[in-house]
Amino acid sequence: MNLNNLAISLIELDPENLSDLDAFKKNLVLSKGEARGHLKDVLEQACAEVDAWSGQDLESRQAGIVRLGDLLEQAMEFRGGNLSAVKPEKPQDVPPQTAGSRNFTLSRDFDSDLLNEFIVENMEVATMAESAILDWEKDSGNQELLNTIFRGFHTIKGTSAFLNLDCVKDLAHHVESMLVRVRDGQDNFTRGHADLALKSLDMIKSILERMKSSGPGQQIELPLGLEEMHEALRIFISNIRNSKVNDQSAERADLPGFKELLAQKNGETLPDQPWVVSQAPEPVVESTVRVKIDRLDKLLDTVGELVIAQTMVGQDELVVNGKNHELNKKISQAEKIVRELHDLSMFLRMVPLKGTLQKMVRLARDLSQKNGKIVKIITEGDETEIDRNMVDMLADPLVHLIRNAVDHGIEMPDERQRLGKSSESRIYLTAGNAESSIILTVSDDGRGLSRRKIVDKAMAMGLIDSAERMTDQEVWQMIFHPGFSTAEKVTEVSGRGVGLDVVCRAVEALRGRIEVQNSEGQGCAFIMKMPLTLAITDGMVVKVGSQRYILPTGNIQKALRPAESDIHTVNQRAEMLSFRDELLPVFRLHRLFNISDAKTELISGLLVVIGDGQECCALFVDDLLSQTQVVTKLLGKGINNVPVVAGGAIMGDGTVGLILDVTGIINMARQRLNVTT
Amino acid sequence: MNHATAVKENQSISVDSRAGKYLTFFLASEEYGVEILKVQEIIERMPITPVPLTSKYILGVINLRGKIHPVMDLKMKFGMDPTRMTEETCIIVIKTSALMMGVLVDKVSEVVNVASDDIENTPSLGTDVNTEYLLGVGKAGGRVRLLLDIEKVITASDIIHLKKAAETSVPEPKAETI
Repeated sequence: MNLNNLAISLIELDPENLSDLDAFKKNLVLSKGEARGHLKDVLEQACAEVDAWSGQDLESRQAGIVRLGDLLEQAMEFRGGNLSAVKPEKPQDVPPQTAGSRNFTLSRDFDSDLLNEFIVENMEVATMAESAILDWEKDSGNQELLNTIFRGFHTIKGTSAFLNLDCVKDLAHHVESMLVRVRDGQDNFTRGHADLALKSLDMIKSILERMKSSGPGQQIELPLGLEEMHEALRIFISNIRNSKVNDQSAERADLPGFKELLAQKNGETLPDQPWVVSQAPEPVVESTVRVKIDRLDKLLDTVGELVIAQTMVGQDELVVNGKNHELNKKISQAEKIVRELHDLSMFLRMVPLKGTLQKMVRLARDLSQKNGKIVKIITEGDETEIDRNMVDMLADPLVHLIRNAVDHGIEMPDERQRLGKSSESRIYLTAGNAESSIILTVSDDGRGLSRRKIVDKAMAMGLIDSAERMTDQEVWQMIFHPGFSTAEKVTEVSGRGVGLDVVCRAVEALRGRIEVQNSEGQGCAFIMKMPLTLAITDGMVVKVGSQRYILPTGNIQKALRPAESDIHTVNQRAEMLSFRDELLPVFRLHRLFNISDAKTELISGLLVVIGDGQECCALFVDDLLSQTQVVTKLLGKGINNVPVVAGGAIMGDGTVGLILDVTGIINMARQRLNVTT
Repeated sequence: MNHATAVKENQSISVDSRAGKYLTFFLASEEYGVEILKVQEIIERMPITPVPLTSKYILGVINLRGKIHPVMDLKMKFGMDPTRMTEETCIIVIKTSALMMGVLVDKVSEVVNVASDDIENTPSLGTDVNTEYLLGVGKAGGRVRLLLDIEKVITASDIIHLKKAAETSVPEPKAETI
């Protein structure tokens, strides 16, 4: 039997219950039998201790348990917690370990709706508790925060008990009992408390995640490390208990975070505490209603239709040429309301970025602890809202940027001191709106990008021959190249050169752009700018024959009427346009789409220079009709994956307009060219 | 779809699963029927936006109260001449568990109750005619109605054309000019 298990069963031991004591003794003797050397001696002592119990009264038994705890601890030091490599069979009377089984089956009786609600609700509670823990860490005296955390775990415990989810319930219970002691002043807060609470939340969340993907009656595999988590919690609590009995101050000082705590208590101010999430105003209580997303989408559709219907009424001949002044007034009044409704409905899907930023704070915290760096992360603009569908897509690039900042950007504390910087570094994570886009910035005050290193690496990779004529901005752009990394060593989290490539792609998928601002030795900033929502596309309506298409404005670099001298042909078939000293292939939309009534003379039409960030080409269309903002919709199922069409939109006249996918067009044009040449 | 296979296995067993209410319509002079439960609505023809790179029988997409749905020309799908738009031309919107699609037909006829006694299995018509889309033939009231397995018709995988073009690597006629 594992020493850890022994220690745990010791903690759970009820000194009044003699049969329990017997069971424990049996285990102890078993362990002793397997032990060798000094370990055996220690366990021998322990056995003697237990033997004495049966004749003793309750109090001396209790004292005996404490002594036994010490002995076991000694024993653990010898063998790092493992008695023997051979896995012993589990005695039957091991304390009830709900986490013992790797799998867990959801009862068939659960209503799947109920289950879903439970998951959603507890996810929310867990997130809330997580954010409270992070705040609590910097302000451990705050009873209100502690109570919030407490309530969170309590809710999780309560609801999961209701659903017989023992694995979740027990975990929450243990954390609760750990926190109770802090709340009641029996223990002082330590970093360890926060660590364990956060890790438990992760575990609970991961169990919930697993439940989400399965239904009632299905088996769920419990996440790895759940048992260890339980043990860690028990041992943590027992450590504190034991330390109470033993020399208190000495033991305590060893607990992680205790010194910080003392320091914090003495000086009221908190600047030394790294984990400050500042600029967090007092929580605003907003009442919300949870609405199913498909209902919301339906509402948006209907409002969109209403706008079109309204426009049709407004443009009706009878109204436009009519003499009925009263009617016109009423119609314009209605139109105003409809517009307002439309604007309003667009914002229904917006959610604040708070949750996402919170995750990043947590990530930076964990990473810097691992790396031994002191990082203060400051978030700003929690309340900035963004389309719900984009939130998940945003998390990836942020994770990579934060990792990069902590892992590569920020120097070790001693190095920072040598450089004359404060040993505590800062990462700013700010979000804000500008016009109709959102701007997210991740900046740090670390060592920044090194132009020399990047250029060397780029030359080594054969990306460039010389960097003499390159601007800084051009040099920085190279770090987004796949496989590019100047890190000398690959670590667990970064240095493989994948990260920034991922960031770049994710931002592009969000129709955004990324910029780098750098000052070597002082830090660097990544600025991401993207539209507020993917639901609305800014586009240009182009005409090809009798067809109209929408080209996303973000992909358009320039539209121009070509002169004869700008056009060059290859083999009399392929055409090229000279544009800003470059030769771009010309693709005729009417040929790609087989439209017969379009203009065929390049100089009589329009060339639109488009690019997807990687490649550029010139697209030949008849004319540019207008600029528009449209609500992006999927084409009906079955026709959804036409490679050149990104989606559809309802135009002002009620017909469907197609939004073109620039990358798809370029790819297709290439293919065609290959096929025919 | 299951009906057809079930029938093939047990020719003599009752054909109950095919019996029921059918919406019937005309393609040229032939009368077809679709299960009424799969019909979402019947709409007048409306402007259809063509979608490039789709099969010829996919006419394009329409806006149905803010949702976009594809529309196919059923006659072209069955290898007949393209539908000529008339006053009677309309779009039957079919809804299956997987998708919604409009089918363009020449004329909608009526809703009939087809009893199992009136249903005959599709006779084998040789290789020229593809009968895999037919559930059977209804013969109520002396008229022959071809009962369609509409789900099979609209979930056919050949909607998007590009793949084919790329696979065959033979340039399409329209590509030759490039």
